[in-house]
Amino acid sequence: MLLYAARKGLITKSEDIWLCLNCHVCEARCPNSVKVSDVILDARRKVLERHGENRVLEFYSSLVRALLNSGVIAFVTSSKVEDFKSESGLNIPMLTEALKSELHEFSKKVNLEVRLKEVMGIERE
Amino acid sequence: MRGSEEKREVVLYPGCVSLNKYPGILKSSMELLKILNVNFKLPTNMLCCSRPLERIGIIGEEHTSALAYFNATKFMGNPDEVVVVCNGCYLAFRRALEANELKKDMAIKAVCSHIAEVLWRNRGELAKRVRAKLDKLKVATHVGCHYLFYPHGDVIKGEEGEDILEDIALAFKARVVDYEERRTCCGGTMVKWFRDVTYSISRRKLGSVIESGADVVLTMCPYCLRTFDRVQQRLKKLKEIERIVPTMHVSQFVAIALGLDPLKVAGLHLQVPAQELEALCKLLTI
Repeated sequence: MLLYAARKGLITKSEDIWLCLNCHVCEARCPNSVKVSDVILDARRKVLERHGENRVLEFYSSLVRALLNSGVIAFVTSSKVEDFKSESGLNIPMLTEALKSELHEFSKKVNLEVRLKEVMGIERE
Repeated sequence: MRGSEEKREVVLYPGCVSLNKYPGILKSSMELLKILNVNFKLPTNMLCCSRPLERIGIIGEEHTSALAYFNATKFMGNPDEVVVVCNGCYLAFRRALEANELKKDMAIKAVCSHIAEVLWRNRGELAKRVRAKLDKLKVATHVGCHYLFYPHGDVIKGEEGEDILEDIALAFKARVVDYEERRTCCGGTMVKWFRDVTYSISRRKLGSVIESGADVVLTMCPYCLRTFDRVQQRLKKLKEIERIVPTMHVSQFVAIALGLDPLKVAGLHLQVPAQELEALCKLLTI
């Protein structure tokens, strides 16, 4: 059914594709070895390519910007964690301007930059 | 580790959540690698594996893999092995490092291991150094979907127990409890606008853990740990649960079993509320 819906283009119209946890349990259990997660993620990518899901912009723009501008998507929000990191030698530097430029060039080479611009309207700041 | 230990160049990749939310996972992993005489280093700079963006559909597998190669060559010095502490990072790095034409172009040689695999392979040796008495500790294991159901190859399934974490817990003489929702997802990978679904999945899972009488949830994924952490805090606030079942990463568990400090090394005070931490420390008799 899932593959049929995907072939007919019905799957991209369904809200259900956003309810998938991408946990791969169904794949482990599927007697026909259907790569369910691949089908769902393919549908999600297609929806985003035609700007069919604005909630992604609302909820994930800051995450994408964080990755491009600092290299990480989770940040320290507690002084206790900050102190623990310092004492443990875990203050790994984030991206410098020079490294961001290198990442930017690499992202162009592998079409990551164009993808983020097309899907999220986000460019390097 | 794989192959000859001494000459291999090994990098411990931190991952965003463990580095900036639960650094005790990394400190514990570092101490354990030292105990195992693994000559490792940390990356020079931190760049996310990008898997969270891929599973939403924002980027594709090819982009995640490309960033894994950039990470390996630019920030890790093209090592022989990348050790990760997170299941999401594991999926991103292992998949990339096992297949892709770009890998050949960039002369990547690394393989990817999860720290849980390193500990599992060395559990016999590590168990000889055990200092803590864990026979009173009831452990509920949660492997996490992106390892348990890894879709691109074989993973360690468990020999003495039902999964890799049970094997490790048993090696240190902890008591492993079974529970109905053992293989259920933590719910953390749900898209952000359906957070209520996350809470309902996680609530069901945690309800099953509480019913089992477990003292601690043992996991190998900081993202799952964070989900259990957040959901339990909310449930306690709503008075739906009376107590929080602390969640511990396998590196923290083994470090404590070997007698390393639960606070200074494992950093449990950064993730377990004071009341529950006191009760947990009483069970971890050292």
